[in-house]
Amino acid sequence: MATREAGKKMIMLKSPDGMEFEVEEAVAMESQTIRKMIEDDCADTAILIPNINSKILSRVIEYCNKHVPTTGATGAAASDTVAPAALAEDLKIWDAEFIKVNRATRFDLIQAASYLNIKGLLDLTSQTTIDTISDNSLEEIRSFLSTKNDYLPEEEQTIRRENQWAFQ
Amino acid sequence: MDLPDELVVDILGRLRPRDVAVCRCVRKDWRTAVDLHGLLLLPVGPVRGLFVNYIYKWRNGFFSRVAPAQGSPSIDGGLRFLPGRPTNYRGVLDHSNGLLLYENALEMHVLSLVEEIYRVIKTPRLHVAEYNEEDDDAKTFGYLGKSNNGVYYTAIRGYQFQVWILREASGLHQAPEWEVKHQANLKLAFVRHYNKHKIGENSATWVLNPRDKVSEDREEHEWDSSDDSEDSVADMEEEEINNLEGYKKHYHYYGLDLLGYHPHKEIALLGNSFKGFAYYLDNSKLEYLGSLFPRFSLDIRPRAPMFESFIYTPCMDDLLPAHNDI
Repeated sequence: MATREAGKKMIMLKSPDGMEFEVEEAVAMESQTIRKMIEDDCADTAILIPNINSKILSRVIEYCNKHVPTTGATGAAASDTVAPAALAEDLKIWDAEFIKVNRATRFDLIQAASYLNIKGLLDLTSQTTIDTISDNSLEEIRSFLSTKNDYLPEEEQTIRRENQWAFQ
Repeated sequence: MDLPDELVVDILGRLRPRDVAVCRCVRKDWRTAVDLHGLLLLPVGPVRGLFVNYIYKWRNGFFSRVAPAQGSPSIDGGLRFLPGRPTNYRGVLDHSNGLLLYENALEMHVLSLVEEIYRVIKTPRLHVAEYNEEDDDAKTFGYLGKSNNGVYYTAIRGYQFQVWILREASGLHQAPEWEVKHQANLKLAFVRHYNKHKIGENSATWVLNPRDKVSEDREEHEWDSSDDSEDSVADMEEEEINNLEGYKKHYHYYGLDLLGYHPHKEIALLGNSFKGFAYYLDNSKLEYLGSLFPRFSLDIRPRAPMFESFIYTPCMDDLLPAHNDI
């Protein structure tokens, strides 16, 4: 559990499996859904996040912690001391490490990012899925995403013909 | 993907068109998602201006706002970055994805307006070995068009008909090349058609402006190009069908017009003396479609019956089978 730092407002997030996460308000407000709850004063003590288990929620908080625009002890923005380009490069490397998860976790993260409305995380998780699809053959896409083919052979032939240009 | 529908749509919507098309074939619910949300319909940019080809001095111009919208580069509408002076008819033929197809004295140019670069692709010359006296006053007409396999160039001189297809260069720095796709003199095919027509052997399956006709049968006039039934010539002597003299007496000589190419099949739609024909490139079969003679009164039959024509295909959205499945 995070320790309370002086001058920083903390928010309690609860997952449906009973875990509690104390996070800085600024970090929680990376989520537009939570931001709206806080701004509408719906979050007095703790916010219950439905449908997102503690394992996924802790990863989402990890992401928001990294991506929140940080302020140093003096109150000066971190970007004043670190070159923005270097900071962005650092974030990119961190993101690439962060997304090295199995497919099931990635899909859970996509759903969490969508529900919590965290655009950066949704873009990151979706992009990884897009990369597995892009430029691959039909069979490869099916196997990478282990999705089942529910077309009959003759139906598949017909639909392939409709989209023939993509198979050339 | 074990994701709610709206997230599947979100991800499919981020893909490039080629990948969307492949994903459409992965599973049925993906196809529904693609079709329902129109993910395969290419977005069209805002109207940037209007290209005009002038007859006077073979010039062209670009009609647009005085100042372009913020962020969009200015366009040299007079195409002054092209070298040399215009020596013959020049004109903008078509455009796609910011590239302009441009003709200059039967040379094809592909221009990028933003980068002001261009590439010249010379069009091939018609081989006039099978020269005959009737084609003497005929000019060679060139048409650029697209079909299943890419860019086609068609040259027509009288009844001589030749089609080339543009082959992309294999090695670097090599220009793409025109490869002869089909070559024929269609005169005999047309003679046979008119001689058969004379005895009412051919029936039209297409009409001009079907709504204007008071049609007794409400039959759909949808052309089925897969119908291969050979016209019956049993009652007619082969000799009579091939009789050039009989044909000459009854029909004017117009030469051929290219009306367009079938977008998916190897079929050229040809015009001859106000009549429309389908010509199958793979088996050289000529099929009569119907008369294109307009109902408005024409005092003088012009030598060139048509000015321009375009193939019309309904919006893809209307045809996708998913809509019928739901």
